[in-house]
Amino acid sequence: MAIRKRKETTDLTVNPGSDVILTITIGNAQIGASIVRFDKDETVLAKGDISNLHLGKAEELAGKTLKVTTNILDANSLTNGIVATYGFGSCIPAVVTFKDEVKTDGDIISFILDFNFR
Amino acid sequence: MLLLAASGHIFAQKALPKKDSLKISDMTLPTAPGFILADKAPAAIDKPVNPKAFGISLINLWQGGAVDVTPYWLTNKPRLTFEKYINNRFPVLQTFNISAATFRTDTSTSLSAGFRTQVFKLYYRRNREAMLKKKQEIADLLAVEDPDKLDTAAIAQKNAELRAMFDIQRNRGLVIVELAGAIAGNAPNNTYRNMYASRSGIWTNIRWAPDKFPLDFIALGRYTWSNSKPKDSTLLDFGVSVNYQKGRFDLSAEYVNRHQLQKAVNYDRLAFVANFMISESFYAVAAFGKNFDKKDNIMAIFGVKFALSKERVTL
Repeated sequence: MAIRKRKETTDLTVNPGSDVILTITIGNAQIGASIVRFDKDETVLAKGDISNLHLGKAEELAGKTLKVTTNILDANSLTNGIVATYGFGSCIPAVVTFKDEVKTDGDIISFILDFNFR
Repeated sequence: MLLLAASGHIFAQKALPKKDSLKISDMTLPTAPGFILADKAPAAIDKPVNPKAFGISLINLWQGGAVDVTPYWLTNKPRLTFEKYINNRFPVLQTFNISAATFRTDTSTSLSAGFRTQVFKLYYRRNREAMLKKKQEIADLLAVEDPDKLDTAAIAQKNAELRAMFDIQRNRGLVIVELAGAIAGNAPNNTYRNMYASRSGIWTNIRWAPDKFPLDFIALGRYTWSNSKPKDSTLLDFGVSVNYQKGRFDLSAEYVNRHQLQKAVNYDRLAFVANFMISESFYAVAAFGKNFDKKDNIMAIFGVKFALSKERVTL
């Protein structure tokens, strides 16, 4: 079983006066789990299945970086495709999608992501 | 009669795990709808199968084979979560598989196109809950911030256990309704110009594998007709098979009643089929019984089959 790491950085523009909510969806009927925390803060905000996670007020988030690690196992015997969708309520873009593919059945892809709020 | 057939399944698009062992349920002759329509499948009642994203099956090296694809899985499905996939009782699109098959004799070539899909699939609640529980166990193992600290051995073990739960040919506690159809054409003298559509058919297989019971049952309804003159072979088949699978053995008994509509004549077939896996790539098959024909209808087949390859082909 191979693990491939993929690092990405995405800038998000927050809408002032609103709450920022994060939902992570693992597609292709694969299995994944995420760990979410802010940069320079060891406290883990949430881990596992991330749904409607309240990240804070837009004004509080501006200038911060959200660090998300999502490990996805190719559990579906019908496809090697991996797709993870990060939905940010009150941000532009509101949806960030990463697509990839494992080489061998049962491999893992780790998305190591930085989301910069602006 | 000795049937020596080399059968192989070369699966592309998806690889088998390196340590994956070939199961007896994998060691069946091609079941592309075109083969069934052309009576090239060894059993009159075929089992519903897990679709392959892309696959090639061979009857043997010189007579022909089939290629099949499940288009749904050729593109990403961002919204299809594991839970939605498990709970979908009508996976028509997800399992819609199209195939093309060819079978060649000394004097003619048969070509066919077919489809098969699962119009209904129901896992017993206990099975569904077990799958979701296994999924959660894997997700818990994946919830690690440093990927280098993932327990890959435990994840691989649980992934193998989960995949075994999806094996619809071996698992118990499920009901599957499969719909299939095909059209076949013949090319006498192996000449393209002579090709014509010869036969079409549509059929359904319903498999019921009760939980905690050693047998499972398949019911068949099949309607086939001739596309060319003389159009005197419109057939309506009804049948049932009882199957027992354990370890290296796969035993089945099947009965099919065939009604020839134009002539209002009934035929039937009763067959017992035994498969024994000698090794991972070599197994014996025996079939005895009575075939449809009024005369010369004793069926006695003993043969061996071996896999050409179970390795992945990367496109």
